[in-house]
Amino acid sequence: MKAAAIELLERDAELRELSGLLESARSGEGRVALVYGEAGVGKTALLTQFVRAHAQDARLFWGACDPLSTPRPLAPLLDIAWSQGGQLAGRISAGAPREAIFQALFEELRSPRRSAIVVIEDVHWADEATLDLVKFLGRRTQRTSALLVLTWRDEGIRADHPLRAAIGELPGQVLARIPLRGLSPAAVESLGAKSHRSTEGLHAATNGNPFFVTEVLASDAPGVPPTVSDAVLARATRLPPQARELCELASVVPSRVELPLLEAAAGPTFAALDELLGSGILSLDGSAVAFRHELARRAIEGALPPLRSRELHARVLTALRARGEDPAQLARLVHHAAGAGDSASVLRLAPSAAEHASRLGAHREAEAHLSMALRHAVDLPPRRRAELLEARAYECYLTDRMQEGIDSCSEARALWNRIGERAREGNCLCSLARMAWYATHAEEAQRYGDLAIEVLEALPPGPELATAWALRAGAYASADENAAATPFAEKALRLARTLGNREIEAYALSMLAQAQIHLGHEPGRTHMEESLRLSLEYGFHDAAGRAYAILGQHAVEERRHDFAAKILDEGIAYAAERDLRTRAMCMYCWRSRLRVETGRWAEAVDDAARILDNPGCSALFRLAALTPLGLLRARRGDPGAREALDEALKLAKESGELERMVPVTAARAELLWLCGDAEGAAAEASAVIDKARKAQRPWFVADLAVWIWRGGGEPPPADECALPVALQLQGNWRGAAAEFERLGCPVQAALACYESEDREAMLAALEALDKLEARPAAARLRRRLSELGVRAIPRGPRAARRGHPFDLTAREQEVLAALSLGLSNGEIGARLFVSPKTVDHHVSAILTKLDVRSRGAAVAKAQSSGMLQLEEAREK
Amino acid sequence: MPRYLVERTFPEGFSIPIDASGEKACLSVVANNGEGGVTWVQSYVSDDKRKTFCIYDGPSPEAIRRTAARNNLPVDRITQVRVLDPYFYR
Repeated sequence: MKAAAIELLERDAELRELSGLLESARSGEGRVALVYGEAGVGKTALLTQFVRAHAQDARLFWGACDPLSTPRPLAPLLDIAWSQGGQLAGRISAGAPREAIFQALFEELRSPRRSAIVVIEDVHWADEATLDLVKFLGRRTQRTSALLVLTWRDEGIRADHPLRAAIGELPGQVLARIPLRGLSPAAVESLGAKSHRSTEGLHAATNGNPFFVTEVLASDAPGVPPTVSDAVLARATRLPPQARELCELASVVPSRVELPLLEAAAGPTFAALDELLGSGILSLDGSAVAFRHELARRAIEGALPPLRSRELHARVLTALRARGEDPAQLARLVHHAAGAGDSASVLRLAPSAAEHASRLGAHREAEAHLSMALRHAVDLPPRRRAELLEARAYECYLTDRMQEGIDSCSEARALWNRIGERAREGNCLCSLARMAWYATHAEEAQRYGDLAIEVLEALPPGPELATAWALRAGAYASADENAAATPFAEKALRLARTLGNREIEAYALSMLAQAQIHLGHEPGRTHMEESLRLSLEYGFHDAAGRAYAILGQHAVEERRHDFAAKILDEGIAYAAERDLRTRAMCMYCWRSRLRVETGRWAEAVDDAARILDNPGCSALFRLAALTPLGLLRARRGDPGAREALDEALKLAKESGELERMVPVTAARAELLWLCGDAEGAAAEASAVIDKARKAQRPWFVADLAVWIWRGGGEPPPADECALPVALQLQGNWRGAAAEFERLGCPVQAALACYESEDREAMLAALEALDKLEARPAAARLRRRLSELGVRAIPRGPRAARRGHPFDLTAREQEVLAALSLGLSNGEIGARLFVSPKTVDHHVSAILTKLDVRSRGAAVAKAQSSGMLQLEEAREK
Repeated sequence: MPRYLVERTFPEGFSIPIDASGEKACLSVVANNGEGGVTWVQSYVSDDKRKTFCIYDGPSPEAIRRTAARNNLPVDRITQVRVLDPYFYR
């Protein structure tokens, strides 16, 4: 069967949906379509048909990700740039920073001339930088007249696949999910009839996968071959020798091969190209050829004998190299050098590929290139090997893979020590100290830090020493030994300025600021903002991430919730767009706590899950996510609160840091109190109060003092506590409640009146707790009210609030009922005495609340959930 | 995977029609559950149809709540439970 003969079956609904999305893009509301399904389900075929239908009325930008062992950074963007030429290609070849490249593409899409279709295929293979591009475009699409289409294979995409996180960060209102399923038995039968073949058992054996079906039907072997791989190989076997050789050569190049490259690598066999294309195994795609299906490519590549595979890779490598070593091609060169077993080339190319990837913010790819180089580095001189190990350790640090980073860095340190490079050894010790801190190995971190300073202070002062001092300052500040932190930070700052090293200056400034903020000294926050400004200006990504994270942390600790939300959202976006996982993880933890505190509980869970669903994350992040999760469970009365907080406490003790101990301890005290054990709560909080007082951190003291007081213990003096708790301890519960309310802490505001005897205030607090679904706190308050002899206590949230199942307003319910009668916006407007535009707003709100995309679907959902019967009953 | 007892209150009473729309409603609950990684094992309904006691398998109480929100079902209380039966010691 020829490629052209394959028609698109059973995809009308999907094509209509895509056209609808393009229509809305055309009216200036850009959209993102997610097209996914198993390999061979026909994602490319669907999109090819779709763009062909819109060739006249939309501009097309098409790029694909490749299954290289380590992907080429921004491969789809390069495809797009080459096919478009113009400004975009110019910026890339001029080596513009990637923000500028992203911006250039965005400008291109925003141009009002004509709407655009941007296809990024196979994003399950995307490198980090491409995922950042997806996030960048996805967040901004709404303001363009573009339809962004992402395709991927959903088989084998695990929960921790970076694609999931990237998709999760796109704004929900612009997304449309278009899952592709296999063909129906009827469609398989009709395909069989057209090729005059029996399809008995074919649908069951292929599950309707169009590729499997067409491959099997195209094979001459009778019946259903046991695997598609056999089918593909059987077809390849029937090719004439030269065409087959060419096919094998093409199979070692992932995704697609440009014709000039294939020609150069193939030599005389290139003459068999027409024959090969005629077989339908490969097809021509612009100036490149591609296997009609990736499964076929892999089947053929996988069947190559090892020596033959090496030889083919070597030919591609030579041909690629002849075109010059363009940085954008480095990942391809490394892939083929590795396939050819050419260790010398891997060693030469992989480090540059890593550097290139790292510069583009593709840190995981950078790490993979360095690991690849190290696998080929058996006989490398120790200096080269140490350099590779150290570079790899840094990429591991940035992407929260601390244990691997520690392993690499330890080996590098031993090598530098052996060849007497003391400064480099000191640098490794600094990295080790930092990574051990994330692993909550407090003693080890301290020991490495001491060693680094010892080694580096014996040498002439250089950037390594400034780093070691800055890190020591940071370690002291995190441990709330702030007076000890300041001189180290100041020394580091002076040395960095003398050396003219702005990056270390930015770090040192943020360490100094951290200690000053802890001490309550005024310039602290100014210094932190200065560090952030400096880092953003010079593009010091990790230092900027640190400044964001610390600013966010302090704002959360001090309940400056508006600022915290703003800075954490900004910081998370910054870190996510640059693959700075370590910094992003840290900020997700703080945002989770912020959301637990402010009553945004469902979102708090999402943030904590980003850490806890990822088993490889650092112990420090696990601790920082378990704490708000445990507190949330306690407040909702859900099981597992104790377990989460037990584990968090164990990790907090390992870290040895007050800033970890206080939140865990306060959460545990709250849990005990909610379970009716007030004395236990006081005892729990008392165990840490001395340390908090010694550090003179008013919020730390307050967070513990309130439980000591509530449990009948001896609380610290009120003037050591932050304001609302100070008021509470002085008996001014009204002031405390008002202050907690002002700060946006609804649970603590409600609990402030618990010890009063003011029934009215307690009934109001009860209503607030019921609304939050803070069941245990509400239950305690109910018991207290009944002890005070109050009779009319509302029974509970369900009894008090008889809301609509989907939370529709009264007006929306009326509009929904009218929709079920099939009325137009104009007719509904006339009935309800409002304008059609207002009706339109109500309809959009209904669609959002019911989570459907059309009016028909809204009516269907309302009927199936029994809601419309309810409406009708009410009308009667 | 932990097992949970989920208590729900329906102030207006609760009914699933015994027809195609009822089947559809149940299947849509099952589909939403699948996406959230939780399994509805079975439920007990009070005679006045105002309370249900539902047995669920799921990874965490948060997953149970998230799925309940998708299904527009209320949650009063979640308790982690284990099976105990009269013949346990035989």
